[in-house]
Amino acid sequence: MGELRVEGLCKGWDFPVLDRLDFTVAEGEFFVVVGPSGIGKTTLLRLIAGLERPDAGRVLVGGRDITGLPPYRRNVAMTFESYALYPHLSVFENIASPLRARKIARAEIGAAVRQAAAMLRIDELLERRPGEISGGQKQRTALARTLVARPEVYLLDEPISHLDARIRHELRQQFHGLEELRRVATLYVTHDYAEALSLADRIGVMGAGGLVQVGAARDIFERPASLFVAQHLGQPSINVVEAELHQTGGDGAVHWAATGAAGAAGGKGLTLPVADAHRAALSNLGTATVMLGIRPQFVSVLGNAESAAARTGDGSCTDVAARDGRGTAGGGLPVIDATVELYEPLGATGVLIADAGGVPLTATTDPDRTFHYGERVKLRLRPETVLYFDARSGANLVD
Amino acid sequence: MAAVAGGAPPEAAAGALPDWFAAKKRRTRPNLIVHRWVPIALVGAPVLVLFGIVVYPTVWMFYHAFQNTNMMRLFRGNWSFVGWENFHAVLTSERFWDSVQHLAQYLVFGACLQVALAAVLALTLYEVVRRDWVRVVVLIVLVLPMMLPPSIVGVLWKFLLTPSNGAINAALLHLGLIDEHIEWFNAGMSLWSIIIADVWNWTALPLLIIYSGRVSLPPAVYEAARVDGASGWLVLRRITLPMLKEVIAIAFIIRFMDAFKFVDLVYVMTSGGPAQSSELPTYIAFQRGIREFEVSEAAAYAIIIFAFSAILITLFLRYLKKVLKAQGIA
Amino acid sequence: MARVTLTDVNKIYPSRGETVHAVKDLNLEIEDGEFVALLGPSGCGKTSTLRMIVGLEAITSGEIAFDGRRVNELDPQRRNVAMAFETYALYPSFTVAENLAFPLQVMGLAEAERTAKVREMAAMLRLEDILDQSPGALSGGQQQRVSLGRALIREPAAFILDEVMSHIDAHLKFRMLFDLKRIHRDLGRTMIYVTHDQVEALALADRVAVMSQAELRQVGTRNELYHRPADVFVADFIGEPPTNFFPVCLRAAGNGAGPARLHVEGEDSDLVFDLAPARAARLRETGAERFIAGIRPQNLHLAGAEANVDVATVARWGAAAAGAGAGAGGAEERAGSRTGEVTAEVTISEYLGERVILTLRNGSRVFRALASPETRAARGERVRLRYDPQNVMVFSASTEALIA
Repeated sequence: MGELRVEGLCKGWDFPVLDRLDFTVAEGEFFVVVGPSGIGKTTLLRLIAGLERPDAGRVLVGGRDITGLPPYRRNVAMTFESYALYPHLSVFENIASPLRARKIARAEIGAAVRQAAAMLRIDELLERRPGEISGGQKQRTALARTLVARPEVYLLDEPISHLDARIRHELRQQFHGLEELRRVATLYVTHDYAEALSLADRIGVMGAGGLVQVGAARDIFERPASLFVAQHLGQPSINVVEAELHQTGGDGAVHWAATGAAGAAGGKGLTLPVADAHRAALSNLGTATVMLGIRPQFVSVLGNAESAAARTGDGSCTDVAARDGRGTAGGGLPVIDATVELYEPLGATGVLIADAGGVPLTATTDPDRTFHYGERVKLRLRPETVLYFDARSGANLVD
Repeated sequence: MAAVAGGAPPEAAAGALPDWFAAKKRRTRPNLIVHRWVPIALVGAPVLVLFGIVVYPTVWMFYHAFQNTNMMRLFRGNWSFVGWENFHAVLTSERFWDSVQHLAQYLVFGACLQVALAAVLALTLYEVVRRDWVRVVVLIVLVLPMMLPPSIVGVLWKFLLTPSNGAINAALLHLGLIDEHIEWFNAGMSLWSIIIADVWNWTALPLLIIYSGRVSLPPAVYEAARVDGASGWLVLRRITLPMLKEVIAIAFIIRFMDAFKFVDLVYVMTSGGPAQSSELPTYIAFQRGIREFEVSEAAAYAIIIFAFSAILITLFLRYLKKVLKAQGIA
Repeated sequence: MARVTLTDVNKIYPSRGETVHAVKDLNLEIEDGEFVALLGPSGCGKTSTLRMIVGLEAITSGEIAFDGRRVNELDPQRRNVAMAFETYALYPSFTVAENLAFPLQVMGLAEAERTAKVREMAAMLRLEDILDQSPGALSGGQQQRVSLGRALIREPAAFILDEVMSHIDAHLKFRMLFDLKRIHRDLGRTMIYVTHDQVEALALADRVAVMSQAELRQVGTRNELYHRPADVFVADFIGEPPTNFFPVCLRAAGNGAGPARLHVEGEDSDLVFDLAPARAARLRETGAERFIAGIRPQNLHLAGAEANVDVATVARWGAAAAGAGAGAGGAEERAGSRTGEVTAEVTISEYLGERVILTLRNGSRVFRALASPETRAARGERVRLRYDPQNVMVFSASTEALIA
């Protein structure tokens, strides 16, 4: 038993896939690597499992270097994205297969298989063949097969990504309940950020070459280290707006103006103040171009009553915002005029895409509301939720 | 074990499994799979056998190709080094170049015809015949000749093609297609007779390869073509044949490689005759080496054939690799 | 352009000596230019239905008509439909550009015209950079876009799209959905879209047809399916996380005239849901005592959390208070309803970035609620949840059909 440690791991074919990757998964930790498909997540697992040879670097389990060992000597169990069940064997035999290789007494195997199957609620299906069960059940079988092996490290490759949303939901809950996975080091890879946020003790976000940010779920989502991380997490994707920072007056106030927006929509543009909390980090940049990240969940569409209140409170808010950099209205928050481009009421939220002075902004709304193409709406932003990224490197400028 | 953040409903708390790994550590008997001698023994034995039946004779052949070994000298042990003389003799002999011409004729009209015919039969069978059982019966009938040993096939066709009272001539006369007997085994015809028998014997092999290739093509692609409204001819030309290109190439390579070791039908049907008019290089090597025991000359023949076929096969494989790479498969 | 009508359509096929009834008495009318999604779990018969509409599958009985003209006997080609396949079905020996051009070539379009159309489609689906590649070299998502492009490049009577987003990465999916929606708005042609993913169906379609076990359960807009699901299946299938269901019995507070309450069955559970009087009356009319109650996780709000919930939730509450929502019942019921409250213990708190899913327990009853990401409710904590009685759905315990 012990921690899983990866040191300076490199692997490439015609092009580098992993470049000097370092990370540690503590004993009992559930570590999730999340990243777009094709970025090298599966390669990482295959390197640790011993199915691929690294070009450089080491893999250690509990301090023991296993880099040179063949897969069957590593005491590592892996589930495959394609489940990799043996089609000619029953569910029972599939689950039992890692134990068969170890010459364990028949009765003991039977007990262990039934226990694992009961835990994953597939005990009714033990006599069936993989061809006769659903995708979710196949996934559970593959997982049970991994669990009975009782390895020192679990490697899980997109175990639930290809299932229906509702089975994904159910299996996510099941992962929360599996004590066995919290006994040793578990490395779980997925492209679905929701799985990562839900399950992980810690998350590593993978970009080209390696991990670009490692941290707890809330850190990763609320304080992304780079624009890449911010864009990969969240649905609908984060709004990215190119803008210019301006110092206003001598009181240290800063506001930003969206680039290219001023000319459009009758010269109104999209200009908003920077929150007090961010001012210190941004004020020394002077006049600079930055990329703003605005989560759709923090763009709210005002109801009729509220927009009326906002109007009576401050006249034409956008113009005020542009002029004095305060732009406070309707509860002290900046309000912007926009035109509805597209609106879809989905399940628990509605998604609205609106044109705010030439800048398309996505907002999430109450799904029971209705909006029509071309309708004028008022959007409210919360300056303290805006993220600021370097226009070139994409690095977070505030955190 | 460290308890870790993250919830667990009570039903899972009881579900800790026994620690199999501890059991594994207790075991003293070495694991059969893991023991380091097992792979060495498993790979070593076949390597020894292969060495005995492939590597040793090959080395022996290369050695004698540069000696003046024949039966007498081999028994006496007094052969001597002659350099490239054997190769020179072969490459300047008319007999060899005639046989190369025959080989070319056999490749073009034998191997190519077989593959083309096989493609037509396989695709017709798949596209036209709708009932599964009919397909199976037709396939079995077509595959039957392949099951027969070549010696039997040779004898069978020798009978069928006998000029005076053979069934083929009789049938052709009866149908009025010819006026007099065709002399199937005279100098101009004997190689053609062998090719006919070989096509009958071996067309089923490329047929099976191409048929199974067609079966494994994704049906959705054909449905897409139907929805797009593409005609049968267009589908065949633009979709089926391009997708089967590699399979057809493989079928051809297999028949092509077989051509270089093609001896049996020649031996049984014409023995290379009359007047060496149906000899292939391999047959000459066989004739000179096994029947006349001119060991060195036969070895030179064998090496020349080997070199020639190696070059052609390499070109083929390179082409195949290029095709596969272009499709993103390899 | 076409109006597609399915009348009493059945599909029965033999499988391993048994007959499988894949589609049962299906009746569906798709208006000209409408975008309809066929939604259901795998094996519900949606793909069979689709294949019958296209003409790849024979119709066992019933009639399919395009603009009132029976097409049962017509070839796919003569029905003039374009289809995108779940398995892409790209022609592997063609480049992406050739794949896109093939349907046009079959139609006999001139080369210049084909090239122009391919360019246009490539720009629309962001395929410009891969036009010269062969399908084998592409990722699943890219192949799927090419397959979609090959269908959209024609100008058929109807577009038929089979699970065309299943291999597109989650973070690209929204963009693709909106792109497709835009394309539909621009082309204005009938589109029929098959999927098992409700987000896709709800995002794209004007109306969604929900299928289960070979039968059509309900056809409706998002609001109809959400607020007036025909039965337990639809209520359960539409919504993520799924609706919470409880077996309940109806008891009146006082003697029949007061507000009725739904007591959740089970001795160890003290869950009780309030019910508006008008709806209680409807329940009493049925004469039954036991029902199934359903409430969606997003309609259960953490009490005492309004102070720090996100703006979207505030807006939702604001809208509900002002009676502005396009609710199911109508204003007169809404006005009469008060906020109800239940308590439960948190067993799992699942942080998902934009929201938190709380798995809660009350006695042996486990259910879920949605909360804002600011929520810090942790495992083991006892919380109070508020709900609008208007959002409690009640189904018959015997037929599982919606009552109120």
